[in-house]
Amino acid sequence: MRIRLAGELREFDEAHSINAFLSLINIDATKNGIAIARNGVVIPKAKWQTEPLADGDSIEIVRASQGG
Amino acid sequence: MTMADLFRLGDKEFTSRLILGTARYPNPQVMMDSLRASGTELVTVAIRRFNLKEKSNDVLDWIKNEFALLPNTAGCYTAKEAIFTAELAREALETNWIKLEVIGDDETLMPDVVELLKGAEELVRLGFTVLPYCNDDPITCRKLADIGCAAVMPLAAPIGSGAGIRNPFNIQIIRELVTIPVIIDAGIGTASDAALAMELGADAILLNTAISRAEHPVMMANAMRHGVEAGRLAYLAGRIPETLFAERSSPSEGIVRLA
Repeated sequence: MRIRLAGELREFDEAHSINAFLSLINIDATKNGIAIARNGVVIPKAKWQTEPLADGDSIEIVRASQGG
Repeated sequence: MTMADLFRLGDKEFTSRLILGTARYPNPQVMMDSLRASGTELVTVAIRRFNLKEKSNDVLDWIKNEFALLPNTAGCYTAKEAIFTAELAREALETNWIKLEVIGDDETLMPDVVELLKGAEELVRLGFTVLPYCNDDPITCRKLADIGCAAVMPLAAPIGSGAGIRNPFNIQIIRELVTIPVIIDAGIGTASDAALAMELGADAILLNTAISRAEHPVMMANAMRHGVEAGRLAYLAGRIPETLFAERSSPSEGIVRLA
């Protein structure tokens, strides 16, 4: 499936939820300090297991970084 | 006799009146040592895309729960971007506090007032504790206060410039116009700048580069701590009025004269 990850359209194996997608790209979903948006809408952590992904979706994964 | 001079911001109380950024330190250990030396209890972080290639470089692994976090919307040019970033920050860091930064260009990094006001209004409506980085413009500050921001954060000088307080008169006017905390954000270069800002009536200082890029960041953090404390005490103590001519301090009676 095609997912636009961090602005870049890429081909991934099928993932039917946010959690499944995270494990595809080797991100620990239980790690604190991460937020995810699907098509410009923030998806609360509690919904990562159930929130479906569709071909062409845009996904943003963010975390805190050093800043002023 | 000591009386607690707590800094009330939003629903929190702090003993330190220094808020520090976490960027541009030589390394994370110097950052931590500097934060500790400054006495700060609240530090800013940016929200950035997760770097799949550099997973270990996580600022939170260093900060842990030692300081309260204030996420920012640095790099946002529109209210829309800033609101999206604030929502991501709230989800990632479980705080509804946001340092709202909406800039107009890359050269000045100065706030875009129209977008800032728009963003502030919406974020207040969404239940955020909004701390807007703004110009040292009294009217903008009053509007931000009217909107329901938890503080106003006028710049002293451009971000990272270290140029000090370019318009102390405006800072004083802002202090008179709003009842919410005034936090001087950006432009502080050294401890005397921080002291002056506090003497002008600022409630707190937010700075980053002045410490992180100093030759000895930990020493400068300590200096800033003292600068802020000295300025605050001087403000509360009430300074003497300035006069043009001298006012002798020794008694004028009984001065020894040659016969």
